[in-house]
Amino acid sequence: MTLEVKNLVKHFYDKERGEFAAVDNVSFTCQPGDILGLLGPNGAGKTTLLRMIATMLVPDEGQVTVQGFDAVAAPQEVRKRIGFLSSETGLYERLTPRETLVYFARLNRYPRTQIDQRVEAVIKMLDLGAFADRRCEKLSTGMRQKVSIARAIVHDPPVIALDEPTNGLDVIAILSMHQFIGLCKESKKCVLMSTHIMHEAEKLCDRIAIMHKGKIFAQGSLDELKEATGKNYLEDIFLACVREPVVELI
Amino acid sequence: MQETVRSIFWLIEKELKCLFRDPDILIYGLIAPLVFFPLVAVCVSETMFWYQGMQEHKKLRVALIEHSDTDARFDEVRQAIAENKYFQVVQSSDPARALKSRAIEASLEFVDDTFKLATNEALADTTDVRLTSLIRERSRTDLLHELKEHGLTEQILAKPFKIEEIGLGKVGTGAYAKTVETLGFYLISLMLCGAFCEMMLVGGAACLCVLTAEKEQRTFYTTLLAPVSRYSLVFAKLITCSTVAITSGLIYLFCLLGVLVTVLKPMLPNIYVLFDLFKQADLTFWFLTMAALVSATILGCASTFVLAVFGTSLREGQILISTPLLASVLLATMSALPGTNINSQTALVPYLNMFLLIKEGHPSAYFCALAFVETICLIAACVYFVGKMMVPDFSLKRLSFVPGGAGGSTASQKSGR
Repeated sequence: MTLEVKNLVKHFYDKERGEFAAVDNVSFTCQPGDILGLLGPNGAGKTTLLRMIATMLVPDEGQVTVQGFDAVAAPQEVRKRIGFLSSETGLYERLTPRETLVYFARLNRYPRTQIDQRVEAVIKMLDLGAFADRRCEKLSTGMRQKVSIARAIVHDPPVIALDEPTNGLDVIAILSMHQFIGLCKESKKCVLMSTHIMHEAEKLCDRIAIMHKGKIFAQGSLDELKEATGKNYLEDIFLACVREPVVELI
Repeated sequence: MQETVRSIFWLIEKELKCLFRDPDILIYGLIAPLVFFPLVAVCVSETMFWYQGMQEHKKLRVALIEHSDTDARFDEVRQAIAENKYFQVVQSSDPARALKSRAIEASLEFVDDTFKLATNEALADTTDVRLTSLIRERSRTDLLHELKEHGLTEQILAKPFKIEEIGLGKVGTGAYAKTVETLGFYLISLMLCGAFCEMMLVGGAACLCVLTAEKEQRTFYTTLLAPVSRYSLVFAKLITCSTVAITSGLIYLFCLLGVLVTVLKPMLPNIYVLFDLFKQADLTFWFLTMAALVSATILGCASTFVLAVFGTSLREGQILISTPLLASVLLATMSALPGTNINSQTALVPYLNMFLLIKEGHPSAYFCALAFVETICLIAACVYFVGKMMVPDFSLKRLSFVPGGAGGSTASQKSGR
């Protein structure tokens, strides 16, 4: 099992709502070559869930294990095995993409003798060659997004967590992101992506987990969800799930 | 452990790359001292020439006292003085009386194979300076060499109205020399305080670049995703900022010394004393000076980190650090003031004590230990504090940093569970 999430709970506190569960008893697993989409509206708890998996937040209850390593007990080991990408991750303006990739490969303990080779491979894979030696401050949004992707995968992690990866991107950048996710599937990565865009989840994901108010209301393949809810379109499936009691498919 | 050390090295390498590509750091740390000091030197030089020009309207009268045993060397010196635009050779039958009545400003006598110079006290300094101006276009070493070749002694440089052998180069003997020594150490203290100010200016800017700017650009979030501990991260950043600050301070000192050698040395004969002090100060003094300067700079950077970690933007960071930075620089400058000495109270002020150690030259081992241990403890406390504070608070939906571990502003912390 590459990624296993068991009964994960995270509470937050704010003045308006008081204490509330951002993630409430969430469980799922993800296998190599799987693309699991976390589908839900803004504030559903998708990002908090991904951050707990990426060890950026400590869960109040439950457990996250990546290739057998517990995210709380061995966060460093988990970080080595996860590539995390979100719209909130920035790039070092004064480094070039190549320098950025070498830096993160080293930090993530990629074998030293293979770093240059790996960086070249990633540059080639994501077509960064034309601007690999230009400082990041001079790159366009699309180029920066590509460099961010490269940064997340340069250490060749078995799990890739993408937090709303196409948020704010133009059509061309969205297409390259979709291609990248396809590549991850081909190379047997376990991909976990959050999105609130229904057609994106429908197009890319092998399995979809419908999240709302911190809970997973349903999870399964698109066909399984259609069958369970009797609806044909993902929008309708989503509405049916969040209005009905929890639909357990697995 | 080995991996941690390697990570710190890589972090430092990255931070240095980013900092040295930052135009602000380059301007403050490298270009400013390199351009500013030569500029100051030219201004000082021009001002002094102008001042000297104002003083040159009157020639100083010198009586040359010849004896029967006077040889060719005396004629040489007489010729040199006669040809100099500052002096007028006059005849005097009773030079001592002429000096007292101020009919002449100086008398030069060749007795027992030695030149002896006497001046009236009112003009002693001026005469002394002007006589030595005969040779001040050359370096002191060249002069001494030449004097020796001519069979003359160093006494031509002696303080003239004190005929005793109080050489300007012989620091530590006589009242005048003691005054010069005090002045010299005072100047060294001021130079080092200036270097510290430069270091803090550059160090402060570097701290903002590596900490606050990272938060603003959201790159810190990316680094936290790597398998590196927060303390390694803070430590690496601190080392980087300190390195940049110390490098800049060294450039400052280098430029200042350059100005002293190229501009001030030929113009101020007494500046030789400062160089003699540099030569005479023993290794312990220099070791203590450098150790105190370096540790005070690291402490300065660590303290700036403590403030900068609260800023969420560069502007906010600048506001946070500017006043305390000024205060720390003022404290360091205070140590250069006459009358501020090391004692059990001043030794407890972190910045001040480091500079008092430099000023004292040879403080007791107790004060040295207190100052260094206190500084190391404070640096460690700062690193720990900043490491604790560097936690992204995702619950606020923005990258701000709050105390309280990796959970950020979680319900369990807020509700005290």
